[in-house]
Amino acid sequence: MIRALYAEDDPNVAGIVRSYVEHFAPDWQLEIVPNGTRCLERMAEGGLDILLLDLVLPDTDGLQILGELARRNDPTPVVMVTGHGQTELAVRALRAGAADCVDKTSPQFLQLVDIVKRVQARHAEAGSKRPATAAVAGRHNIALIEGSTALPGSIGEFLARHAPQFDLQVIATTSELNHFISIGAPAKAIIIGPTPHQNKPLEVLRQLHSHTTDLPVLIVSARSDGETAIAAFKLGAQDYILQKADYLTELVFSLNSILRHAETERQNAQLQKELATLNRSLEAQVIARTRELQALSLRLLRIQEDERRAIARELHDEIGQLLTGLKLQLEAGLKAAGDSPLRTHFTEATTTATSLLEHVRMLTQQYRPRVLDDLGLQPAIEWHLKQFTKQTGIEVDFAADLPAARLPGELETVVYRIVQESLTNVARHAQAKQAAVAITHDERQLIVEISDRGRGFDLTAALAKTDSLGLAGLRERVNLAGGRIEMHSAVGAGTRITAEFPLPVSSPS
Amino acid sequence: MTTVILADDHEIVRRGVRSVLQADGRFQIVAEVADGLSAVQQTEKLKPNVLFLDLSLPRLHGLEALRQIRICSPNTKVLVLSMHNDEPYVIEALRSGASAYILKGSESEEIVRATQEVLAGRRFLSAPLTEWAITALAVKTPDSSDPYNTLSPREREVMQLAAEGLGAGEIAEKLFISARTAETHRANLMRKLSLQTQTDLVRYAIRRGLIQA
Repeated sequence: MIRALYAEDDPNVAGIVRSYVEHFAPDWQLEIVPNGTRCLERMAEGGLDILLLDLVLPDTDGLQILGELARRNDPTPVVMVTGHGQTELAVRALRAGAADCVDKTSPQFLQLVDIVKRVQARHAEAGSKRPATAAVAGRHNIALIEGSTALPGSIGEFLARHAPQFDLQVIATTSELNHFISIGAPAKAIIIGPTPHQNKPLEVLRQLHSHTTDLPVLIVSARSDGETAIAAFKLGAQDYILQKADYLTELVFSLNSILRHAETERQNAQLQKELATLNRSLEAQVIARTRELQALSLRLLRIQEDERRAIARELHDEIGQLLTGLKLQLEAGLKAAGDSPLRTHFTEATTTATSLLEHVRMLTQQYRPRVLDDLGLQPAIEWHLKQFTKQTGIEVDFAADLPAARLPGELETVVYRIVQESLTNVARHAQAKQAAVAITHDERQLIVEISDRGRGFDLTAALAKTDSLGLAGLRERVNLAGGRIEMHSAVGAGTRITAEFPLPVSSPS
Repeated sequence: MTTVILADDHEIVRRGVRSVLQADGRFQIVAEVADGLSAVQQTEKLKPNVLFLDLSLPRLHGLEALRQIRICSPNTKVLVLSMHNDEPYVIEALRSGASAYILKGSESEEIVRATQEVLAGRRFLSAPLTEWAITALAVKTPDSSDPYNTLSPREREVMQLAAEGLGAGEIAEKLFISARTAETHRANLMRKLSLQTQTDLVRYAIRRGLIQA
């Protein structure tokens, strides 16, 4: 159902429309008023979906009513009903915010019902969006640059009556204009009249724009010459209004439209700025958080490594030494026991101490090989490979070309752990008989490569597993050390892990 | 009487060794120290016939103490007494001038036997280490005067393929290594063999009979 109001002074036309609506759209509620006053009264009561407005009414015209509705912020869509030869007026009505136009003298008028339905649907779709020409909320200073006295008078009077939200400030003399330009004024928009002082309107426009002002400018011109209008738009004027009958209504629409546009622009700019700030802060947060996480991971690895070192040291230096001492004492006891029955006990105790000592040695190596700290990376890896081959039966080809000077402790640890971890993976999954470890370097970086010709695996699936011992952990370790890791693997094609680490800049030796 | 210094940071170990040496009756312990620095100072001062030296010592690592002692008291025979059964330590200790390497936990007789051996001017290794040393000796017979022998097995493979005219990418493919690693192997082997260009490499390979001319 559509509730429509039709303002029409011709009872014949009103009658035709009524019967027409009853026939084609029986569910409509159509009210008809004969003049502008009644129309505005009825609009004030509300509850209407659409207004059909005759362009020419006995007491006022359609443009005036549009103006009043805009001032009231009435969002009801308006379809103008025009007569023959009123095309120019119709265009102005559209510019002033009418939703559509229909010529009652053309065959198109028969489609009024469809037109109204379409307009109404479009309006409903637009929802609460107000038409661009609705009055802008609040009060606004408008500067009028005009030398004559007649124009400011008529504009001022019209605004006071129909658009009291605008306060008009008249700039009548050149000195006032210069003052306005240099000091600025709390104006929201500028109107340049047809005779602004000595200068021509376009000169004033140029003058305004050559200074700081970015206020929207509207030109009221006495001359309807297209070239001037185009020049004005090119100079950045927001609108160009010809000073003829009814131009004041148009002026109000234009002002409203310009201010709303300016407001939207301002809001957009503000939102853009806020968005940019927000983006920046989010980005900074992500970076900071990532850094924090990396720092934490790094700390965790260091703590883990330190702990392993401490445990290994404790086992080796304390427990191991105590056991050594114990064993020597037991042997002394064994000697002293001679052939007495105690001999058996001493023998057994000695054996136990020996196997304990072996155990401690093994544990020490598992935690952290002392060779790595005492003698460096290459002996540590060589030692590890020997143990690895002994335990798994997998032969490892080891090629090492390390810098002459020892690497930083952390880098040695990372490389050692990567080789260890990768080989563990080979033993567990690759079903390979052979593997290769190569450590090479150039001036800038150290390259570590562990490869096997085993059965390979699906890399994507393996990386998705985030257990710290897996490939993801390997990758993190390398990244934390500032290195880069590449993994190649495919089912049946073997696996190759290549890690590159930046080498510390060697001091001139 | 053979003069002896014991250097070990664990009293219980020193006590054990002391009792073994005292039971033998031919040794006189002139000092006992618990860190590397004191070991160097006391040895320099007392110039004993024999020093029992632990490797994991506070203040100065045993290996470093060993090097200094070889200089300040060259006639003192140093017997390393260590928990480390890893070959790299043994090699490093022998290189630095140790006369014997005894694993902690060995039979106590070894201590006396080792001392007699080094005093007689021979070297001594604990039983498991001796076995390893012989194996290592049997395997390693490189003629270090020939730079070709300094190439690793992988470098030799790269050499062969490069001489056959393969590029780094193809070599990488064949050996299942990355192109970068292949490139580095190639650069290293060229450096070791003092070769400048690909032509040099091919010529060298022909001379060595690696490829047919």
